[in-house]
Amino acid sequence: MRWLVVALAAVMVVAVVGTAPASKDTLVIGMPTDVPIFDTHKATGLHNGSILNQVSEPLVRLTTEGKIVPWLVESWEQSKDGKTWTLHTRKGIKFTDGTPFNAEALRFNLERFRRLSIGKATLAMVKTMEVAGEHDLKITTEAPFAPFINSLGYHWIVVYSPTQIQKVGDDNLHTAPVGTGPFKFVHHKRGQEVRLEANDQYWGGKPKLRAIVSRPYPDQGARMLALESGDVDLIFHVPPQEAARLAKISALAVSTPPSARVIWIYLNTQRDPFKDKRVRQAIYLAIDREAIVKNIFAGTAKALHSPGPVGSYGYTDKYDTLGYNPERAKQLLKDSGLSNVTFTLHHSPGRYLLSGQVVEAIQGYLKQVGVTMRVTDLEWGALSQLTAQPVEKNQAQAVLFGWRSVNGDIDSAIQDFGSAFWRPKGNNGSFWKREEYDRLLTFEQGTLDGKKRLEALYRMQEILMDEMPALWLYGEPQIWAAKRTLKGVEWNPLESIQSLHAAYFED
Amino acid sequence: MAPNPPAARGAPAGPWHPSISLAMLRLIAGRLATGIPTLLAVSICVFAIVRLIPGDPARLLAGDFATDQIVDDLRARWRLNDPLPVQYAAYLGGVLHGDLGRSIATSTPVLPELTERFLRTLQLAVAAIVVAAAIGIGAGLVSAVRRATIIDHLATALALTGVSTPIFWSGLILILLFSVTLEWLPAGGTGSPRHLVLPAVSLGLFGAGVLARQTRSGMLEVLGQDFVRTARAKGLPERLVVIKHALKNALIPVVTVLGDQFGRLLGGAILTETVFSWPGMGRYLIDAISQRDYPAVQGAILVFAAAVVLINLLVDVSYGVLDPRVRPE
Repeated sequence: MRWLVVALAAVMVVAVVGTAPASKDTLVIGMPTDVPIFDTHKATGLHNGSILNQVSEPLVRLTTEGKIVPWLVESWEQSKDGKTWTLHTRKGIKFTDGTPFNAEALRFNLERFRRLSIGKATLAMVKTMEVAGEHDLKITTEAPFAPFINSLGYHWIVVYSPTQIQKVGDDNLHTAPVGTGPFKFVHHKRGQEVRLEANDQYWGGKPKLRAIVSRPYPDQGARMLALESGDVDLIFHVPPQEAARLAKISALAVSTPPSARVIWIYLNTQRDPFKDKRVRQAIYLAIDREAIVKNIFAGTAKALHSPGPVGSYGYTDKYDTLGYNPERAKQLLKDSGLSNVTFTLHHSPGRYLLSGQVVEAIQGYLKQVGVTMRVTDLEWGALSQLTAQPVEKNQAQAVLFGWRSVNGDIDSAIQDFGSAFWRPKGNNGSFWKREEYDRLLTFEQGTLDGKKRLEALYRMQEILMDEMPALWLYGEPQIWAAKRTLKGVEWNPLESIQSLHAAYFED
Repeated sequence: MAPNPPAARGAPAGPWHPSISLAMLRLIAGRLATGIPTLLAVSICVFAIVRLIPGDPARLLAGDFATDQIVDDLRARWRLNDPLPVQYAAYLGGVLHGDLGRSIATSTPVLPELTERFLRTLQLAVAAIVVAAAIGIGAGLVSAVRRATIIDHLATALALTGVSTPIFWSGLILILLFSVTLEWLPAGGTGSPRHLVLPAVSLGLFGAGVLARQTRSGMLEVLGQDFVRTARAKGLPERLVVIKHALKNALIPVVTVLGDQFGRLLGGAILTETVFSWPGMGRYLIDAISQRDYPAVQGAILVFAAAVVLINLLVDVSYGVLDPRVRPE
């Protein structure tokens, strides 16, 4: 037994002998995943932008209020025919390797984004790019595209030093990325940590933090415990019920910046029972979305009264004339002449926050109006494949799906209801088509008249709220928790930190 | 441990250490040779199974924005449209040249990352097996010697708890106790030996239960045998009787379980690595599966399989070391 006691004692000694307390100018972030690859043009997983975009910066920024503000691109003009945009880059900016940032560097990076990014479709409308001066880039589009500048706010559109890319090659940029941001890349140990250090030559001024470390904590319980134990200073993806508990701990603070992610249930309008609009409306009427938000999300989510994310440009709740009304739901079902309405919902557990509980709640609400909803849980990869099938092969009747506006404009959230976006070409899993809607979509994307465009966006929402090709449920919250002394973190609505330039620890 | 007896009967005398006879070498070579078809079969199974699971790596990588064109480009880039035998032949050709391909998710080579991850998992599994052996054999020994006392009941109850506690739960409890409340150890991650303590204990406790039960029953059987009575009658101190005579003879089945446990620990590491954010193979495999990252899944499973083949071989060899009667002639 003596050796056992000695061994245990040794473990204790090793355990207690000091860890240096984390320096107050180093921020340690606990993320749900590791950054898959430190190259924003190849990035996946919105939240990874929190780390990547401290090194590489965007052209324009999307604020949590859904507004676009100039960033590396300082100003812009649109030609009279609406097809040419001239972007003026901010002067006096250098990449951290000394390469100047100018129109040519911008063109080079936009080309790279259009070649490599999974989000390259965001700039699919671009026809040509031409450097018109040291700081001027002329971009022409196939047709006038009103939300063009908003699209530049998509957060995988960033710039890296062209000199560095040419030096290390497209395939190896992730080993030594060089950007214009407030922090410089130090290392990325896969699965372990990313380390960044302050860029004291940053054009916006010296950052207050000296270093940023990001570590993956895939288990949400372990992630919260890492914050509570002081191992990390800031964590992402806190479950709503836990948020309330963490907020009560005096050393911690919880932040819920607005999020652009919305949760819908696509209803396949080419199959029974959802061919009939009355059934789709009845199901919407039967679900108490406010109660779901209050009870399952502890008030952190936002019930949707339009398809778009609350707060996105063009969002309006004035066409939600249905609301929660189970009696009217029963009446509509009766009017439809269908009895014993039964359908199957496809759902991927764990993909979206608390979606399992939401699905159970919906099952309960529908039961009250006599509708049976069966649930088929599929792992995300399997679900993606099933739902990507074209209309004639697509067996899914209803699918719970998360979508978002990537540019703060509701257009980016609802354009997929255009019939050109039927799966598998786009993400319209409702296989719904209305000529008026298609016409309005083409009009609002092309018009130069801001007022008429807004009217078109409103009318599109009015049509969607009446036709219900999908059930608009709620806007998913993004929940962060941090040490209370951490100040100055700037978020964006795409589930990520916009900038840590101004972040610091209060004494 | 008692010195080994002279060279095994029938084995030619040679410059080898007495316990590593030519016959033993032949056994090792034979087992290694049978390992090759095993690994080949594993590679074919994994290759087929990852492609049978619904889900398309190109579509997953392309993400929510995926248009058909993007998905098609990705499929072409990763040659996912080639006939399966062609894909397998290309894969096997690579493996034979020490190239496990490139990860679809990150476009980086699989082998260097897998090697690093495997060493991490190995580090965790070895530490866990040490914990498991120390606690398991220790507890089994004590409860056999103090049979039917309160100590025995306590040790048995603890063993049962160890076997039946899920790692994701015990792991979180350990973090809560040692990281959050006592602030002794880090809650997860890597960087120092201190980071290894909690995951190793958590994973080790899982294996300790099985070992404790095996040691206890083995010891009880041996303690009732004649040579133990003889040893006691000779007046040997009880400590020597138990450790030197009884325990060594009770160890053979324990070693079998230990080898078996090692394989299980590699599997259990998947959960432990997730809870403790340990960047090992388990987490690599989980990420690879959810991304349908075929080359990464194939590589990881192949390495796991090779490790299990090797461990089984080591177990077989260690029988011979522990008991001359089972040495190959």
